[in-house]
Order: sequence, then C-alpha cells, then structure tokens
Amino acid sequence: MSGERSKKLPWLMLVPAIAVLLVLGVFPLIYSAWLSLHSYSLLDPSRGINYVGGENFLNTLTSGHPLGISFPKSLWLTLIYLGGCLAGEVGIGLLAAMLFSGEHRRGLRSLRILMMTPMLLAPVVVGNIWRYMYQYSFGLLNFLLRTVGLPAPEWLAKPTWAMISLIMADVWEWIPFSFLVLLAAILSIPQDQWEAANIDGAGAWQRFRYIMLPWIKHAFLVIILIRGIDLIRVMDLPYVITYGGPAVSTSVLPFNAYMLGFRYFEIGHAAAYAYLMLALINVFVILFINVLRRRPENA
Amino acid sequence: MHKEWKNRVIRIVLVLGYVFFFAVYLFPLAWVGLTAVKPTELIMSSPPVFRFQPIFEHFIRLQTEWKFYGRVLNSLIISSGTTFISVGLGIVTAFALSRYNFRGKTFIPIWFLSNRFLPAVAVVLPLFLMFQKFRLVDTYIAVILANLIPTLPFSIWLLYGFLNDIPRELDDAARVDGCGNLMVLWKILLPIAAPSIAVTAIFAFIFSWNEFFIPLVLTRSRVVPVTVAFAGFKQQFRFDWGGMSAAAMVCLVPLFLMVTVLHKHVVRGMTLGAVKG
Repeated sequence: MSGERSKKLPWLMLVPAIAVLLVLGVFPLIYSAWLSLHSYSLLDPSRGINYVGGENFLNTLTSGHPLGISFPKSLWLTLIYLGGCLAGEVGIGLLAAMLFSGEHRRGLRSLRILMMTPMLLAPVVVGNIWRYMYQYSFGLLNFLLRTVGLPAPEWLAKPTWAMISLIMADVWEWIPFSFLVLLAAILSIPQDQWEAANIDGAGAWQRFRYIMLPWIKHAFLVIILIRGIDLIRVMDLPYVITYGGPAVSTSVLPFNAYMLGFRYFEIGHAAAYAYLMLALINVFVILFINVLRRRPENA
Repeated sequence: MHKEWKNRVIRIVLVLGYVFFFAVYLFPLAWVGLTAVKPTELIMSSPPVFRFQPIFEHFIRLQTEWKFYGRVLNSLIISSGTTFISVGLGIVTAFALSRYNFRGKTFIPIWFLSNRFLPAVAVVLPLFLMFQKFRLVDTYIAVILANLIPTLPFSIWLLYGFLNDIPRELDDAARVDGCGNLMVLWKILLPIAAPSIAVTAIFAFIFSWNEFFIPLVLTRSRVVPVTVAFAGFKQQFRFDWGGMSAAAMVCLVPLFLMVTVLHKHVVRGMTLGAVKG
C-alpha cells in the first residue's frame, strides 16, 4: 500500500457513515442544546423563539409544569421501574439459565426459539398483549387469581399496581435476553472447572459462588448496562400500557419528555428535559464502553 | 442399578420443570392467539371462554376497519429502506475500520456505537423541526432516515466485529495473488461474511420494524407503520381486542420465521458483541 493513497482511502470509506450520523445525530443534538436555552411553543408560534437562559432547566427541576411531576420525582419513579425490571429480568433469567445449562437441553431447541420471540417482538405489541392480560373484569390474570381464590387487583387503575404491571410486562419481554446471555456465559465455563470442584468436594453453593459467579460476572454487567440504558431511553411500554397514569404514577422520564414535546408542544422545555436524560444515560454508556474494552477472552 | 433409576427420575422431573416453565412463559402468546380467532361477543366474557367455533373475521376486519395491511406495507417499505442503507453503508464502514490503520482507530468505532444509545427524544424533536421545514413529515424518506439513528451504528458495530473475526492471513494471501484492497473485500471477505451480513440485515430489519417513537412523531396518516397503528387500537371509544390480537399474530408469525434463522446469533447481536453466544 503506497503512502498517500492508503491514508485517504479509509477516510473515503468512513466519511459517508460519519456524515449521515453527523446530520441525523450530532446536529440535532446541538440544535437541541440551543433549543433548551429558549422558550418555543409550537402551540403559539407567534410568540417566537426567545432566549431564556437556564429557565427551562430550572423549571423542569423544580415545578415540572405543565407535566404535573418534576424531574427529580420522575427520576425516582424511573429508578423504581429500572430496579424492579432489572431485578426481575436478571433473577428469573439466571434461574432459567441454570436450569437449562444441564445436559437435558437437547430436543428443547424449538421451544427455545419460540422463547426468543418476546424480546424481538415490537414492545408496542408486547404492551398491548399485557394491557389485555391486565383488564379488570375479563383479563386472564384476574381470572387465574379468582380461580385460585386470591383477590383480583385493579392492575391499571391503582398507582402501585400500575407500576407493578409495567415491571411485569417488561420482565416478561426481556427474560429471554438475560436468559440467553447468562446461558451462553454458563456454557462457556470449561468442563474441567466443574470436575476440579467435584474432586475438591465443593458443595452446590460453593460451586455457584467460586466457579459460576466469576465466569458470568461480565455477562451480568453487560445485561444490566444494556437494559439500563434502554429502560431510561425508551417509553414504548409505559406509553401503551399506562400512558403515564393513573395521574402521574408511571410517568417515567422518556414518557415525560415525549409529552412535553409532542402533547404540550413546549419545544424548549422538552429539549432541556432530553438533555438531563442524556446526562444520565451517558453515565451508563461510558460504563458499557469500558466493559466492552475490557472484554475477557472467554466471553 | 439403583443409581441409574434415581437419575432417570431426576431427568423426568427436570424435563417436566422445563415444560412447565415454557408453558407458563408462553401462555400470554397462546392466549392472544386464541383471542385472534374468537368471536367478538365472547372476548369480553367473564370468566373467559376457552371452547368456541374459531372465526377469521378479525383478520378481515383488520383491513376493512383499520387498514392494517396497508400499515404492514408501510412498515415493510420503511424497514427495507433502513436495512438496505444500514447494511450497505455498514459493510464499507466496517471494512475500513477493520482493515486499515488511520488516526482515531480506537475512538471512531466507539463513536459510531455511542450513537446507538442516543435517546430518541433528544434527537427526534429537532429532526421533526428540520423535516417540517423541508415538508418531509409523513414521508417514507423521513422515517427511513430517522430510523438509521439506531440501526446504522448497530450494523456498523456488528459487522466490524464479524469482519475482525476473519483472519487477516486470507487478505494477505489474496494480495499476493494480485488483488487490490477493494478486490479483497469483494472477492474474499464478502463471501465469507455473507451469513454474518444476513444476520446483521435481519437484526436491522427487526429493529427498524419495532421502532415506535420515531414514526410516532414523524408520521401523520400516509406512511404510518405497524407499531404506530398498534397504539391506535386504543384511541377509539371501544378497544378492539380481537383486532389487536389478530394484528399481533400477523406480526408474530414472520418474526418467528426470522428467529429460526437468527437464533444462533441472537446473543451476539443483542449484546452488541459484548457476549458471544
């Protein structure tokens, strides 16, 4: 490869993709930053775009008008949602992965393929399926609860139950993800590790603690970071299942940002909101990128 | 003898455990499948009815009442467009990232990846204002372009990983035979990477198909895709559960076929290569 030409050639190939992402990603971000410092209502464009400094940020962080919920309160709801979802996904996923890592997994392949579908199905579809399950009078969940003699809650009408409903739907959708990732990690543990443990007479807990856990730590981190980022970013399930309600009890951050921009048409406000979210997401993204870089050989 | 008998019992218990786990887990899908062929007057009955004469009226009503198959066509057009651009640009970009030395060789791949995590609200709001200025709101081109924000970084990153897995010795051998750099890509890497490219394309297609927020904001009526139509089943006075269930089945069946092709690569794709399945 001769000097000058081989220096230019890679850039020639990189530039189209860089250009596309600059126009579609970076420029809108800069535009957003500018908007976040201005007041701009699409409902009343005649008022124009006026510089307001940090007012949008201040208002978002304190009163939260017109949402009815301030950013810190919504952040708290989002953290509850995030914590519940991650605990359920990782907990059930790990249990399932440990079950399936035995030698009995042959012949169940078609079932496993079927099991992958929820996480690849559009979240909006998943949301609708669960809204149907949660219906008070004719929903399947309440039918089952009544059959075994338990009280049937009004899933979507009570604040706490609405949050639980959201978490359950999300956990159902994403169990396959943590299940498959953890299963891959468990199956990558070399057989001789288990044999050595057997010779040493290690009990079930010791085998879990000293052999399995170190080998699947990386997979855990990957699951928590990828899902964490998406749970803060994406509003599909809250939009479809509870629409932020009842009142504002499930108004998580991305849903509020959507409402500000496209229901109240407070563009500047929404941009400020989005930037606060972006700061939060960046923490997760930086952690994830570090995890990618430190990827162990076996993963 | 006694031990073998004990093993057999354990095995049977485990298999029953698996089947139970699957049955519980997949029950919501079965339930919605049942609703899709249930007569409307039975859907809201309590307790639920499990035995009835199946009907296919909902699948017909999807078109007559909801124009749903038109939305399917919109989704197909949008997802195909996004996939085509993502994978096409992705191959060229990934090749440059994987096979050349240039300044920023560690930073640039990660910059590409980081775009995958942009919160849609932060980006789509200004994009909406931009597209409005060019009268592009509610056009295929706007949604196809905006859907690139998550799918293009994803495709570049995944293909970059796949190309890195192909040993460089193959390139060198071809170069000795007198191939130029682009010939190496065309004659050696593309044929070897063909299955990986197919996997990337299917993922990009599914992600674009599932995208909700972007088309919710950028479409009005003409190019509304399936996901936005789904949110619409509830905006009516009465929620159409039969129609919704039938529509879910229309989405589920082709997805299931795609997953049978994809299933070996699902872990790698969904973790962006952080875990190899």
